[in-house]
Amino acid sequence: MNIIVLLSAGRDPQSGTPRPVPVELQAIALALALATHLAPTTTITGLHAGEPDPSVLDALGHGLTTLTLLRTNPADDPLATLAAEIDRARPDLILAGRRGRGGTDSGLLPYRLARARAMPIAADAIAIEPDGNDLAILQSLPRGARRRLTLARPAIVTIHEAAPPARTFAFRARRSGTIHEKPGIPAPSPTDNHEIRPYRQRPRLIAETTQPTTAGHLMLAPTPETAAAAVLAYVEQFRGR
Amino acid sequence: MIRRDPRAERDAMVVSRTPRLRLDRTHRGGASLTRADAPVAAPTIIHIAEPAFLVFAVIEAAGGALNRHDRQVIGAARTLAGRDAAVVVLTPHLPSQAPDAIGTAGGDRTITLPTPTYDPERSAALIAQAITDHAPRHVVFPESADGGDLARRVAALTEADLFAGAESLTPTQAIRPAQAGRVELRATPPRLISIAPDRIAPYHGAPHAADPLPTPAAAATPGGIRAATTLAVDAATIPLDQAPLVIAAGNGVTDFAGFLDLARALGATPGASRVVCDAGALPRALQVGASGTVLNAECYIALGISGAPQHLQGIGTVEHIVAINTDLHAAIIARAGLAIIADAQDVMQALRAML
Ligand SMILES: Cc1cc2nc3c(=O)[nH]c(=O)nc-3n(C[C@H](O)[C@H](O)[C@H](O)COP(=O)(O)OP(=O)(O)OC[C@H]3O[C@@H](n4cnc5c(N)ncnc54)[C@H](O)[C@@H]3O)c2cc1C
Ligand SMILES: Nc1ncnc2c1ncn2[C@@H]1O[C@H](COP(=O)(O)O)[C@@H](O)[C@H]1O
Repeated sequence: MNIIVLLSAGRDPQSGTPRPVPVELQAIALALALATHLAPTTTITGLHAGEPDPSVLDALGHGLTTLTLLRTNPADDPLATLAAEIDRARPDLILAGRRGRGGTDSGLLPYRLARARAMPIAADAIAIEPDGNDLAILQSLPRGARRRLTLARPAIVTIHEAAPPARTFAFRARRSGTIHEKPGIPAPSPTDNHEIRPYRQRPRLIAETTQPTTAGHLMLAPTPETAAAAVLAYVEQFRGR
Repeated sequence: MIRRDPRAERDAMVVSRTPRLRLDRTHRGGASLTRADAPVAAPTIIHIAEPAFLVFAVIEAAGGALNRHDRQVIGAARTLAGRDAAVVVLTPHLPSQAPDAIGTAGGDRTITLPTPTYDPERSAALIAQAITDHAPRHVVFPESADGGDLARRVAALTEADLFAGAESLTPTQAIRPAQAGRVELRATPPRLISIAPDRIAPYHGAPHAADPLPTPAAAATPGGIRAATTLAVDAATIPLDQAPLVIAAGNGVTDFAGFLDLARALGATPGASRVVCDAGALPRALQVGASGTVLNAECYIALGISGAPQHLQGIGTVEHIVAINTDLHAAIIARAGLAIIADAQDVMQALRAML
């Protein structure tokens, strides 16, 4: 099987220095775990459209052995470049982070790529296994819930933070990894009219819920059975969300 | 008590409306005073018959009811719509328990998207079709797990950009974090917006009339997602801060083995007050409150807990609270949606017997 891991240029949330995006490193770890299930001919390649950003090159120290670097202007839209490379490499599985960390961080790119290459996409995976000709994906949902999906190949899967941890950094592996550098397709992204400001923390809403939304119901000294029935009826209303 | 009704007073002063409005301010109309103890009219329901434009609000309505995030999404759509535009709520099914819940939350129309099983490709196709049919000015999604996924599918299908995870929204400006949370992007609200949880206030005004619109007809989807099953989770293993239903024991509980057994039978995640953890009756990891875990639960059952401020801080965002306490004047009783003045031990036993 041929697996591509999409890598984006990451930044540290505190210092702003180049730092790989943690979920993308977890994607590499998942790909390596998947490779142990499969024939030894499985290849795992990192793919980045942009400049040789240190954060992307550092992925080589986290278990990745080959990286394809498609040189474009970092301000360009990477879609066309990545789509062309996928047409060439014909991967069976493409892994991406659920959100980038350092760019627009909208998590939209994997979906646009899936649409452009008419591939199915599944989000927030924490485990991937081959299932005949398909892929079995375990999805992480809020509140500790899990969903199992069967996905046709080739597919794009984004990785959730709850996936197994990334491999630790090894400097020697970082040095010995191979980088294939090729020119990408320049595609200036449409200028958006976004105004950029330093981030300002805004308060979350909680005031609304400090009082019950409906007037509370009060039961004075009911029998234990009536009380228990009332509790069950009340709880049933809010279960399963 | 007598209250002034400025609108009626003004109406009584009108001499003519054409060619221009003329008022006779020397007139002191008696009819303009209404008695406040007269029967209170039901809140007037707002109809927006001829909307200036449409705003879509895509909600999850999981389990057949609106959750907090759903109401915030409709509130955000309401903000963008103002008074003249209509909010169209796109929902997998109408809330079963309260059919007028969508109108109360600020929706003017509803479109049901029939997806009997988990099928995000089909949901996205239906929403994209509805966008083509009705050409809304904005579409607001919840930035939740499934809602965020759906928003990105729709963005890719309609080849539009997504303003993902907006933390502030007005009719003229939307703000979201970017670049690892170090900067924020500000823009005039684009077409597709997803809103972060607990950032944008729900709508609290007079209810709107939520009239149903026809379901869009979407072509067959490629069906790349072949099968989906949601796996049962053991409530005891869910991290306390993610658990949807928490049952907690306080100083009024004596039988802790029975309490843990009840939690298991109920499918609830167990919690405890600090006094119980200090005494070593339950592990420290279960402590709810300021110095323990802050919950995000949908529903919380407090057994024999007084509701000290440090404890209440841990359940600040929980909307539905059941309190069982022998003391009517305990602080938790005032915070509870269902308050039961009874012995916690007895109720626990009765509950266990019923499950
Ligand atoms: C810095 C600081 C941090 C703290 N952090 C936390 C925290 O994170 N979490 C926390 O929980 N507390 C915290 N506390 C402690 C908090 O102030 C309270 O002392 C504690 O929450 C009280 O726990 P309780 O309600 O279980 O016990 P109590 O206050 O003793 O209340 C017991 C309640 O049970 C009722 N009761 C008694 N018998 C029965 C019965 N048979 N059936 C039904 N009801 C009965 C009583 O009427 C009473 O209301 C903190 C305190 C400080 C100073
Ligand atoms: N320039 C890029 N080259 C390769 N992969 C990318 C690039 N930008 C984004 N990705 C992938 O898409 C995911 C989501 O990115 P984003 O849409 O920018 O939040 C990232 O975690 C990467 O896996």
